[in-house]
Amino acid sequence: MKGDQPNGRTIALLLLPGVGLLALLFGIPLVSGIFGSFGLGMGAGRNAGPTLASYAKVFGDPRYLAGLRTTLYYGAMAVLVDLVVAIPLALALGRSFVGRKLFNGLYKIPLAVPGIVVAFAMLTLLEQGGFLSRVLHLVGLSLPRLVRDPWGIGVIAAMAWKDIPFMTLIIVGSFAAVPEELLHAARAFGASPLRAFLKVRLPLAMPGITAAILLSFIRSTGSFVIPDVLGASYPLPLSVLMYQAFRDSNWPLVYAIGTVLMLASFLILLSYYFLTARIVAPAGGGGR
Amino acid sequence: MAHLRIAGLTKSFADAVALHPTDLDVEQGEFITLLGPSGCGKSTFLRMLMGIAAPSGGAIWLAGARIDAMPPEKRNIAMVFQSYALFPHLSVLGNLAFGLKMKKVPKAEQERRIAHAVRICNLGPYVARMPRQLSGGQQQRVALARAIVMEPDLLLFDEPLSNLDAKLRETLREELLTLHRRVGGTSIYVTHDQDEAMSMSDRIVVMNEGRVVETGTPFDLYRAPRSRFTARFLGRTTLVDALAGKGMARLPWGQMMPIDSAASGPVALSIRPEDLDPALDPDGAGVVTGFQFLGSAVFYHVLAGDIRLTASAPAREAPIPAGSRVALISRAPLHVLDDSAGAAS
Ligand SMILES: Nc1ncnc2c1ncn2[C@@H]1O[C@H](COP(=O)(O)OP(=O)(O)OP(=O)(O)O)[C@@H](O)[C@H]1O
Ligand SMILES: [Mg+2]
Repeated sequence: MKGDQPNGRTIALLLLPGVGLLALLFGIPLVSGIFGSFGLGMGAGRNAGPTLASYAKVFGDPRYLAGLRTTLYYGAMAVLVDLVVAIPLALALGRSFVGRKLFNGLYKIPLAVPGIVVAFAMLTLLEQGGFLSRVLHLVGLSLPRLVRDPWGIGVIAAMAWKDIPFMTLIIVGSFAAVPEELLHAARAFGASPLRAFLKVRLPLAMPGITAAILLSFIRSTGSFVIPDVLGASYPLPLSVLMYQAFRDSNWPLVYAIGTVLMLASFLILLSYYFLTARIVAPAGGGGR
Repeated sequence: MAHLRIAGLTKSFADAVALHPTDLDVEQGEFITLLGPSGCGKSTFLRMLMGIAAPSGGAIWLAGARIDAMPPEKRNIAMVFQSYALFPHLSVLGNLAFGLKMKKVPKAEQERRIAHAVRICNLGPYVARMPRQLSGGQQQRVALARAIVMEPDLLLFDEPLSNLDAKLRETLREELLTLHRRVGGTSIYVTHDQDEAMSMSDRIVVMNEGRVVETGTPFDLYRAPRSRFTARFLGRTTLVDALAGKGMARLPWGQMMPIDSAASGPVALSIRPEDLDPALDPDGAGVVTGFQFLGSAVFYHVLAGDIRLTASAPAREAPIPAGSRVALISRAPLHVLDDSAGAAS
């Protein structure tokens, strides 16, 4: 390479085809959505004009604030359940046992099942008078309320069921990327198997695991069918409220809710970058 | 009972035997080297001692206790891994402190030991760095320091100096030995560098193809090896067939020379370069085909009859030029190998 540094304009021109296309593809719908939330643009419908009315509704009506809370609650709980199941599962899959190959294929099945199918399958399984309650009835037990229940157990179960394979897949990969020899070294230097896991394997697998957490959390905030079918009628998560606003043809409200949902995701993404830059990077990153 | 006793230790993998049943006793304070070509089972041997590979059979006692069924963290053994195995998410300091923390060594003691190891391994400027910010040699020194700070009953080194330049290797060799003597620790050191093995060890265990070939002091193994393998692997040698009788042997080129055995009949001899002095002589039995000037000595390649051998001489005078005819003067009785049968190929 010669010493000439390309100047800013050259760089901008060179970037234009790629970045410009991205900006068009992703930017236009986003921007028009955000405009729409202020009652502007084509999508805004009849009640046009720059207005904060929809935001006033979102932030004024307890339904929507409860909706935001519910969205975050469903997402966080689903991720928690994912982790509790996926980490041991990933560890088990890292060992050899009889039938591991078969198991390795089976656990990925939920990846191929659409959300709406999961929702209705869970409904028939968990509802009062459903499959599980009848089985329990045979042995003289009664099933607590798991569908449309105040704690959203059915919703969380369905979301987790759908996301666990995805999470497990990523975590298995992250664990496998930690060289076996490092675990041997940890043991040789006095670590019990548990401590070798906590002090060496887990920190080195962390970048992968946090990325998985983030992705499945953001997926669940957008999940609509599962909370609609399995959730209680109040509070509803933002995704369902957004759909209701759509049924009412209240376009500015649809866009306002969407904007809030998006902002929440962005905030989470940003705090992820912030936290990983602060915690993971100085600790070595291990981003192999 | 010996400080470390190994009895019938063996390891088989699905498709091969990495270590045939092996016995070895190591005394407290001994520095033992496992020497052998690549793939002969040295690492496998060490890993079983450390407890990170499960033996297929045999028993190990260390400091009076049987340890072969103990998990590695319970054994008071530290190891320098061939691949270094530094923890990439910990700084150099974090790596050095890892084992001490795990073994709950008091803080002040931790600091003392780490400071000392940092000094002797020349790690001062790097303590805050992450392993990936270090060169291979620097990483190796961290791996070395990490093991040294443990002050264990047994220290295992898997080729710890293989990646260093000659000078640093020399320094660390000395440091390792000094440290070894002062701590009074017992060490098992794996290498395939015969100079390292000879200069450091109290005893050398020569291995080949998963078996211990021979065990002895560097002097004994060099001067009086029992097997061809040892003779060839340790230092330079020329193996020749000869006919022995009455303490003498007739060499292939017709000369008679004294041998160190009363054997008679066909024998295999190991001729070290320093056993023979080449001397300019127009009627000599050999012809110099070339030489290597090493500073402290000159190694001559001599063709005697149809045997190519190496003879050394002190380098005080100008080397004998190639093409000169030389007489071969015997300086010491030539060594008769145990496994004399067959051709000395
Ligand atoms: N996990 C394994 N599975 C099968 N064979 C193995 C395994 N580990 C080692 N071996 C085999 O065992 C033999 C001894 O290996 P080992 O690593 O002990 O050699 P080494 O003497 O340390 O060699 P080097 O000097 O190259 O490090 C080799 O032939 C190797 O291929
Ligand atoms: Mg090895």
